[in-house]
Amino acid sequence: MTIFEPKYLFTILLLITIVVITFATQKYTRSTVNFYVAGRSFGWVMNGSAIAGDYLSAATFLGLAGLTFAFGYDGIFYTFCFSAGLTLLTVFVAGPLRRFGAYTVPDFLAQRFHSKRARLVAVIVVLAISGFYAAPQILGAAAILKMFFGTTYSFGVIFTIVVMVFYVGVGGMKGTTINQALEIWIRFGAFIILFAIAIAAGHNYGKIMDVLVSFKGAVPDTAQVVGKAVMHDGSKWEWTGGYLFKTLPSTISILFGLIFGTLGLPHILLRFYTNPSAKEARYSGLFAIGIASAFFILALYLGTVGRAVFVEGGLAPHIVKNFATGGTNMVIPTLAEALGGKWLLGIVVAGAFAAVFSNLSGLFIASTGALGHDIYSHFINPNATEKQKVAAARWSAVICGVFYGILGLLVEKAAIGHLVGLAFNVAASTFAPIFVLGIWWRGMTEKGAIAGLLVGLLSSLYFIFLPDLVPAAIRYPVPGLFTVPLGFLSVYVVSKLDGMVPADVNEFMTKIHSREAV
Amino acid sequence: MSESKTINYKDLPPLDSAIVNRMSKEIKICLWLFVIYAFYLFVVPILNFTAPDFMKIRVWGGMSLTWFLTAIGAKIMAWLIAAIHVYFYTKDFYISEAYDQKTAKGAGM
Repeated sequence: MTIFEPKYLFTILLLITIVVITFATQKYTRSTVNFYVAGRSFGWVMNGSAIAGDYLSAATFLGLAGLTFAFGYDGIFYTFCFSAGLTLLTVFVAGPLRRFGAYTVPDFLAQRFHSKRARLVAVIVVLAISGFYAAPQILGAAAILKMFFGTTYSFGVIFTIVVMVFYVGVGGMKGTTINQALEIWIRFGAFIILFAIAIAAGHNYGKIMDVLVSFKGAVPDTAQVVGKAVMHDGSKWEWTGGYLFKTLPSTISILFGLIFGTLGLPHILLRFYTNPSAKEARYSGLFAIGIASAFFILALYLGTVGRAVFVEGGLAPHIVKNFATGGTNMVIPTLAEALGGKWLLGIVVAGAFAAVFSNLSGLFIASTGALGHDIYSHFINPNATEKQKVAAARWSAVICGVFYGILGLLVEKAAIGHLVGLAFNVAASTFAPIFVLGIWWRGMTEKGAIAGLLVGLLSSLYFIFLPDLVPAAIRYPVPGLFTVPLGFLSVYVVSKLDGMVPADVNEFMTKIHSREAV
Repeated sequence: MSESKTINYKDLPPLDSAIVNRMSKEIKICLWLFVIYAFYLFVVPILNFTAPDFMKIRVWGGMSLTWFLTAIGAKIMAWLIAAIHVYFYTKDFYISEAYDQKTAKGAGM
């Protein structure tokens, strides 16, 4: 083992790049508008890349291929839902949100209603969603370090957190955005190379689907290598309902949760604040959808190739072991090693770190804003100087690091893709109704918004953490079918009953729906 | 931030007609696109459960119809819907801009 081994080499190169970009952009973090929204200076290519970088997390780079590998069609159905979310965000929310132009997601509620209560509840929801989302990303990073660098899981968690606190605390939104934009192209490059090698090796869809659909029985070599045969049933794997979504309602439920979830993800929403105009915000969304769509198609193909290679047999014992015991999260690195040896593995490992860092940094920025801007500057020290506000932002990054680190340590055995699904469900049931109705309906009241956030959050937590108290017939992996309509209904019904809207709501609507100057 | 004054929704003065016009135009496009997209999104899982033989038809590269619609078709659809929306927005943006310039010239501004 030397430092020149590809997996070390590429990972160290990535870390050096992050450090250089972070230090180079440090000078742009001395005011709050620069720290939180990078001076609203990013064009659509840079911001679209960063949105894609934020959105395509370890759950995409590792998890979706892994879910496809393990669950076939039920795995690919996840991307069916993920790809729709960004589109609806671009269509309904992106432009008006940019015209509103604040620093954080809770700012939207606070300024819509001039309400500290609404800001506080929104902060709690931001932290809940970010926590749900961050935990599996940290799990992904720690799992990669454990499997490919031989570290302990705890070391992996701590290492990732230290990198993130530095990345966000020093570089702010400017450094984070440039890093995210660069990292999405690193990941994309890794996928393209892997895709090209798989195609060159003859793994076209026609061939691999034939292998997978017709195979039924024990996967070769698994009994000898891991002590227990891994079974594959092609017809079950290729079709829906075999593993995760047993019924139509449970499938529709995940559709609701994941589609509306994107509309409520704080780290994605606040990216639209960094564009100079609403027009750029829409183009950013469109560009991000293009990248995400291509990325999803590649992830599913690679997960399918991984399964075909595994089922065909003839692999080195350690590859069989990694496929069989790496869980749903290690398929891409294992496939890279199987197809391209240690150089391709090195590129993919660096790509996986890029995915984790890119997404986690977005979550850190969102949570740091919630603590440093929404809590410190509005509750603790409303008269803070610009210097104190920026210092609070940096300390908030440290507090978020501790919080996320603890969460990361608690989820070692979980599946990344599923945990992210749950984060989406909370976002779908809380912020999605608030933003859609808040942008398009003047009648939404402060009480309605707070009721929607609380009902959406509590109902999601109930379904997720107390499944034994939920009737078996409606116990779905993602409970969006119930919690999303509940969130929307709560906002609507309570607003109707309350009826008291802010006196300046017309000015707010005029601001977010006006055509901006070119 | 001070808590603001509130007003009963029924007593709220109407929004400026230009803003109402713009909002209704945009929401109409958004909702139409949403309906078309939602139809696609819901029809695929519904047909999976109600017409499995149809969705199992092999279409391309060994993929079943549902596999193709879910893994590839949905991604193309996602981009197309967003692109159509941005196209309409941009078109409206430039038409309004040209109208404003013409009006400003006419008024000798």
